[in-house]
Amino acid sequence: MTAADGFVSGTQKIVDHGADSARYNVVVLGDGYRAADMAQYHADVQAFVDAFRQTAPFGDLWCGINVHRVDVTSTDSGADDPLTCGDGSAGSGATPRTYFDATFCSGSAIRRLLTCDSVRARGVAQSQVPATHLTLVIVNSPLYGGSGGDIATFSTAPGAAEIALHEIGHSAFGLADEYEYYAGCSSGEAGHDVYAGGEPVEPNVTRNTNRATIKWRSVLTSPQDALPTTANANCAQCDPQGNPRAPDYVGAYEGARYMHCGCYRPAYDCRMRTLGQPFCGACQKTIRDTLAPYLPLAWQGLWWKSPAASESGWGLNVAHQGDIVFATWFTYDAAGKAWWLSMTAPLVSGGNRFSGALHATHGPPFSAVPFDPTQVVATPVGTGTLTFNDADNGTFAYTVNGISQSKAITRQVFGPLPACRFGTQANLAAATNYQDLWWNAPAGSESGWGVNITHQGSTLFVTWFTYDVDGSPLWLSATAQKTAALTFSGTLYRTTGPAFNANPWSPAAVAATPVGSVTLTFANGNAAAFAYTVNGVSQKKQITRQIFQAPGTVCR
Amino acid sequence: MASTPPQALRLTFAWQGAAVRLVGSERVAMIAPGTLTTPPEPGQTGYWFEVRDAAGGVIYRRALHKPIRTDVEAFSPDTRQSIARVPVAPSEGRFTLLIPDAADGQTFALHGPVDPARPDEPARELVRLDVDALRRFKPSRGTPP
Repeated sequence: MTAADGFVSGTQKIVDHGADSARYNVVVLGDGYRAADMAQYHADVQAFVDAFRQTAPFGDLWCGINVHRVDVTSTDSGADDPLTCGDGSAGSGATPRTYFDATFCSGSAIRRLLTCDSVRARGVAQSQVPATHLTLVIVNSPLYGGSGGDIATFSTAPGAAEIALHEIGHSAFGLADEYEYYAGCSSGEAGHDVYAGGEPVEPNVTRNTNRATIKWRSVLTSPQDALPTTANANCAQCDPQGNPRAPDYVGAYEGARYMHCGCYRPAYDCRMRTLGQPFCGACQKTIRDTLAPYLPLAWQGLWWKSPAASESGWGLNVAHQGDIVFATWFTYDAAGKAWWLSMTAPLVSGGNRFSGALHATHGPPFSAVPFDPTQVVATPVGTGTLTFNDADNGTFAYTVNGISQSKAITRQVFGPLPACRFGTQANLAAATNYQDLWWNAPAGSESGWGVNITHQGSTLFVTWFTYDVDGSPLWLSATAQKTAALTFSGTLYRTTGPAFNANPWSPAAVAATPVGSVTLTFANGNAAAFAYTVNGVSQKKQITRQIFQAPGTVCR
Repeated sequence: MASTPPQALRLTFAWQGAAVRLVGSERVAMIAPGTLTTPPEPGQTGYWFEVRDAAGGVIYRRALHKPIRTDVEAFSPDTRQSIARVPVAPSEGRFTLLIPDAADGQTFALHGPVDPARPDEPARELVRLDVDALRRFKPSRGTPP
């Protein structure tokens, strides 16, 4: 390769979730793409990015990832393909002039071993994107091949992107190979019968089968199944038995890290064992733990006018999952009656600005049995935009019925503030902080009403948005104190106050009237009984978290 | 309100056979990947690196997969056995690591097998450097960036 073999023409941030200094930055380079091939290169990169996002758990963690495409033009198309190779295969003899000098049969060993000048690739990636975490090189060749190491290289052949995903497991997440052989189960290999070394450092292989101490104990599928899940009866060979459990079962299967026995893997199969398989549960946990620092803090919680208490009496509950905010605004109509508006607001720019339509909703009275969600009618009344300046401050700008206003907002603090992150915990039942948007269980069964829970310390602030006896919007609120291990109780209040557009907005004009009581009893982090008495009407509903972008947001 | 971006140190190591040496250290405004919390065990195998504070406590630790190449993976689109390993002759190469540039970071250490071709042997400390020295590191003349 010489400078005459191509040039770098620019970089595009094709997935932008915020500043590079705060996100995990994937940089994709191309080799063997001529100027005339650039449209194809862009399509190939996008196809890989789509596959990457669809590979669990990366989709859940997407808002923590930026992807940068570096446009590199080569003089010629393709990659070197030597005529002969150590594996006896025959190549075309092509020697195209390409920027990263990609070649099949690297080291004259194996035809499918496709490598490039990794020092040069790393240098280009880091000069274009200083905060590069992971560098990938797509090689414009229909021949199947790829390799790992510091730089993952793969061709555009069908299925070759799987090589990159496997290699990302190694290079970005420190995952071990889970296959139980070295050269192959049918190779007749010796020296791979029983693992006799110490505990491997990698998070997805072990010699330990004690369920209390095994390194992936937090993701074991069963709390009581015996370990190991499988044992190899003949350590001179790979274990031929099939999987006695479901494909996604996490246990301890004998045979891993190139050894037939004595070393265990979490799942029967995994992308670290076989290309095309999903990452196993232990690998997914490692990926989540590795990428957790890049996930933006979710703005989930209860907000009110800034400075704090300056307009006490109205508030904004924010449920934040991935790139979407669902906000419920608790305020008052022109007559001073409690009025709530809701807004589904996707991210519109910069990782911190969300915008959507505001709706006023009518529906069956809170006491209706059954509550018929088909009777709920949402009417657009305007638009809203939430812009968050930092973890605790932002601006709520809105236009409602032709009236435009903007308010500085801040978090409402009544105890220790939890930190909320999207995508870090797939098992919502294990959550111990209940701050979230909840609705009737099973999910969707009574769509139209909900309960916002703000959880700080041993106190819940509950805002229940529902409907009055005439079907008009109604919200009630309660401060519920912990009365038992999983139980919180408090008085329910109905409030009146100045209209949403009053200027100045006087908190002295807010009047709260007790109308009953509420008790929340949590079965786990994703299931609770919501029992209330309002104006003498007592009911109990089972509620669950409302997930509009899986796996949801958990606060700690 | 803007806040100061987090900083990381990007360390570049060159290896030749079993020998490993630092050839580059660069301070970058970025976040290092999440730390692994599994504590080290006596006789542990494989490669990992860690940063310790003045009291010797681990403040950052991550596993590495085979940064020194003694074999390669051969891939196949045949899903019955899509991956196998093939030994390669001893050679040379480079790898990079990211560590947080934390105020309490005192020492950096890279652990791994003394002989990369014997990965099941207990890991030893291969490289130990003061974090301050990493911050001040200048590559020797003739070392490619």
